Amino acid sequence: MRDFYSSTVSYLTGVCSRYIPDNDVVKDILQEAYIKIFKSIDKFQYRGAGSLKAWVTRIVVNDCLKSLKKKKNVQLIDNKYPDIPDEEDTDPGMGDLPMNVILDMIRSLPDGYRTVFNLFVFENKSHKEIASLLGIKENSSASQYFRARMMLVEKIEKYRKEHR
Amino acid sequence: MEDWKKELKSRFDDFQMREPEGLWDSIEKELPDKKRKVIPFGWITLAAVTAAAAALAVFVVPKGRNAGNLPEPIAVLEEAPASFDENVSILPEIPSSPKSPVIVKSLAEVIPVVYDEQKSIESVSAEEVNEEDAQEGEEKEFIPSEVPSREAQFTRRNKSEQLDNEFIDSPIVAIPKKKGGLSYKISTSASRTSTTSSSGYGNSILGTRSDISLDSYSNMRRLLSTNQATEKTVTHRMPARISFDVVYNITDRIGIGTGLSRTSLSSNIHSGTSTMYTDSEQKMVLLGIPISLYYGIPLSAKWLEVYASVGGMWEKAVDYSLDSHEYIGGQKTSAKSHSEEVPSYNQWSVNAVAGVRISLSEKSAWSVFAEGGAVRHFDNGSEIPTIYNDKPLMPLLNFGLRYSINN
Repeated sequence: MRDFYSSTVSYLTGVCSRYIPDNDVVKDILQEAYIKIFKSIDKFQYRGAGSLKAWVTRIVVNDCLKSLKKKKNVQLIDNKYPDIPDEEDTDPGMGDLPMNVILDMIRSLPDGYRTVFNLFVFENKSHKEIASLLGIKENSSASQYFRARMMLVEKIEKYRKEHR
Repeated sequence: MEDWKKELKSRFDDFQMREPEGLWDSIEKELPDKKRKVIPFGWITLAAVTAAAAALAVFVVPKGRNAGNLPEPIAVLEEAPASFDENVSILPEIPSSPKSPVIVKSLAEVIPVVYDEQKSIESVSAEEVNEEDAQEGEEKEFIPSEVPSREAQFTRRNKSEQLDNEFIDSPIVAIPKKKGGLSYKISTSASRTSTTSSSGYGNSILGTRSDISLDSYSNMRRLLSTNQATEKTVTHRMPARISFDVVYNITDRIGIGTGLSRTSLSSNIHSGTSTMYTDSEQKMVLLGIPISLYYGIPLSAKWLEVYASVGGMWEKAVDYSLDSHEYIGGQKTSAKSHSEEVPSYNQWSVNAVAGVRISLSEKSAWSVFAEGGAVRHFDNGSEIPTIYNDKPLMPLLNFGLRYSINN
């Protein structure tokens, strides 16, 4: 059991940290997730390489979403940026940045932006699926993603100026 | 998906972050103590005893492997994938364990990865949602998109039962000295070592905690060694039994007896892959209460008697131990476990024997005997691997020394 934990905890900590900026909450979520994993491992059906990773990732992501929903002040709407349709999903320009910098930028996004961004980019969900998951409209999901990307672009530009 | 997203996703798939301090300790504290599964024991009606017990001689023992020999290698498993995830830790090359019956050609010299995954996350079906998540109907369930993936290629091996030598039991034998007399005897069994091997489909035992079911461990071990199928081989040693019997002679030929017996069961359980496996030593002590009906045929020589008996026995586990050690690449690791929680294990059996008893002298209470027959153990629904479960119908051959005390 300890071997399994040791081989997966670093990756899952990264997954959880993308959704949850608070490290104490990350620890709590990982604790609950691992207990769920250990209790239900016998129900898992192996379907080839990658299925285990997907399964444990899903458990952690679900727990992150539950934790976010419990927060009463989850910000899903922000009026700073115009509600521009997501027509061009251009590269925000983080390809050469260090991973910890990218992670910090993602973690610094408002909860709603960050959640939609993670689900769209990393979990490969469509806006329709995200809307269903989060209980928002599909257009709202697209807007949140666009605004998250705009905010990241700002942060990246600021970082590059500071680290020239 | 746009290139930048793919690249970002790929980078985060490989991203490793330092775990929160004290996380494992807090997880370990929360893991519940799981009691062993209590398998309800249903009362089994005793089978009708055979009136032709006298015709039962020593069984022809099926030929099998000698004690200590292991099965020949059986099959070749799937080859390793072309590439491994970069984050996977590869252990140094160590030849595969000679004990394993399975040969993996492509991984014969390489220990499998500890955490072998593709870079892109693959999907799992909705059925794999754990019950807690599924029951929260208000919250939307996050389900990754479907991605076809290879099916695991685990081979299921049929059980192979091979009994090497006869089961030796302490007999319950009538000593019809006098009509209506009461006699009791103390007898011991002469145990021979023998093995019964069976191989089954992969359930390996991690053995680090006894409060998690064996299936959980087997899954984790199987998933950690995703490119090798697991094997489970159980080797049983012949039971050793000592018993004390009291026989009441209804007539000079017919007697009924009961008593108390103590049987030791010992098994070795080997499970895992050829390079990552667990060896467990299981020992269980059963106390039994036999009931038997005897029919003796005294011969002209009073010191010689042939007899037949049929009967049954109920046994209950009173002592248990399971010691497990984990091996990687044939090397014993520090991971081990010990459990002494006695399971709820009840065993019914019936037996029929025929034998010969020779008194050491005409007036001596001591005699030697030889008897043969069969014993049938009934399925008690227990998941504990024992020779009783793997070989429910066993030949019975016993030699011993008996002391009779009559009125």
